[in-house]
Amino acid sequence: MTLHALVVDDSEDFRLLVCQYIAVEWPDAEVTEWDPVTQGEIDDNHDLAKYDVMLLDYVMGKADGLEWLKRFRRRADCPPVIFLTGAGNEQVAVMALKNGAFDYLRKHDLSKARLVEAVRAAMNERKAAEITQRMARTAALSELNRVPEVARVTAGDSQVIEINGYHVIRKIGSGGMSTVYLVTRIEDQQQLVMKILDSKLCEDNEFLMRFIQEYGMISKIESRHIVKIYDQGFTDRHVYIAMEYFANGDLRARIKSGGVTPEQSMDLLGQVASALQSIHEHGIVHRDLKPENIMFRADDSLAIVDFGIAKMISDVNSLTQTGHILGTPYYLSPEQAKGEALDGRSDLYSAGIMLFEMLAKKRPFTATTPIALVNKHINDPIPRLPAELGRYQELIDILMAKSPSARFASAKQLQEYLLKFGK
Amino acid sequence: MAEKIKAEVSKDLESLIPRYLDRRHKEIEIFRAHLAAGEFEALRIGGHSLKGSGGGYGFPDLTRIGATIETAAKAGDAPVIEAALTEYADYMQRVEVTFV
Repeated sequence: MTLHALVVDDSEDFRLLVCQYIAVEWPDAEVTEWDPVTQGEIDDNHDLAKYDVMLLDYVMGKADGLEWLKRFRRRADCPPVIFLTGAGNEQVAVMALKNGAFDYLRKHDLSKARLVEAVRAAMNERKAAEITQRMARTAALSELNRVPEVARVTAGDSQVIEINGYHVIRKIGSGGMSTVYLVTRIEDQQQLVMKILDSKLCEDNEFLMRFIQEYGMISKIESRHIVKIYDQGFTDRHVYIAMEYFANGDLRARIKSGGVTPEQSMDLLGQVASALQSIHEHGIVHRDLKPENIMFRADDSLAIVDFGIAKMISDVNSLTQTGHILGTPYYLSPEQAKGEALDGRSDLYSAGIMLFEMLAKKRPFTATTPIALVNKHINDPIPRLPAELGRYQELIDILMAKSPSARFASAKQLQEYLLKFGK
Repeated sequence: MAEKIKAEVSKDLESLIPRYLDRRHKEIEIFRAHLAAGEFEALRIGGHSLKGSGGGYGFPDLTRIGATIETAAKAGDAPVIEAALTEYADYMQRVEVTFV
């Protein structure tokens, strides 16, 4: 996707600075500069829809950027606006956010990293809004034609899924946010998994953002233990991610068959630790680690999948409301259960639960209701492994410690422990 | 010889810096002309612009000097502007850029 940006600032030097940073990060970007002093106001005939993001200065000669912002935000074609403020103008930044600015940047300490982060987030926002609009239009048409897409998809009729370049073989499964299909990429006949966002959720910007972010987050990571993403996009009817197909099924099936030995459990944990190290280094907490999200390739190497509720550690603007639990209760960390702030150690707890399950062939905590289960994660003592598995208890105790500070500080530390353990 | 002032600037901006610094040298004379003519509004706008760009390019001192000029221009305070311009000129003589 080529970035189209509009930079509105009366300082040529500052416009050049922004253009340069954008050009370094997105060489194909098209940036339009607007000098309010020499070019005047941007009137209602100026098409704003062509921009993915607008950077708008506060004081522009005699023009007031806040007034411009209010006017732009009344327009349906207004892209996300990143407001530019000077030193000591934090109150102005707050007012800009209240008046619909997507974000703000302080000019006096602007860096490429800050600019790129803000622009990238704005692009995601723009994309999500576009998809929502397209889906809404399609939904309206479907309603007129009395063949709502949602019904057709949930009926499991794979023939109604049409994505250019792919042939749908069959439906594999469905989760809370998406339906998953086995597809063939027509150009090279490679089998892939296509995850298609639930049509109902396409009307919801928050879910769209999460879906798009999933792609963005995973694509950044180079690790053989993380699912490989091949494509992501949207049509008038679908939002999708095409990803690696795993021929050898998931860890849940292996646990169920009873075929995981303690030695294999430790090897699998090592691979999971490697994956977690990679994602945690990128500031991502998976938050939903469970055997269903551990998949095996034909060569039996594993990869973590389903980052649907993964979340950047630094993302303070939570996608989930405080206290709202999205994770699977069986693998939920105590801090997750309490709705507290999470870091990578929360995933280590979930890995500990999986290890316990692989070793003991049963889950460490079970209950008849989700609430009771959550309470056990928070309050119950760590269960003991059978006597013959006693040598693994210390590892379980560290991974499943109630307090994150009592666990390994990082997935790397876990890997180091496993190395020593194996000697 | 006066001691150099070191400024660390992003390598990404290397191609822009010669032009940026050249414009700053010229700007000092422009500001002086505005001051001599009592054109405080032009100084306010120029100071504001300098405040906005300096830090972003890696010259936080220019942001500070720009803010001083902007504030003093609003108050019509010529002596403060004069002092700020002296500091501006001195800074431009002594600044030494390192690309990081």
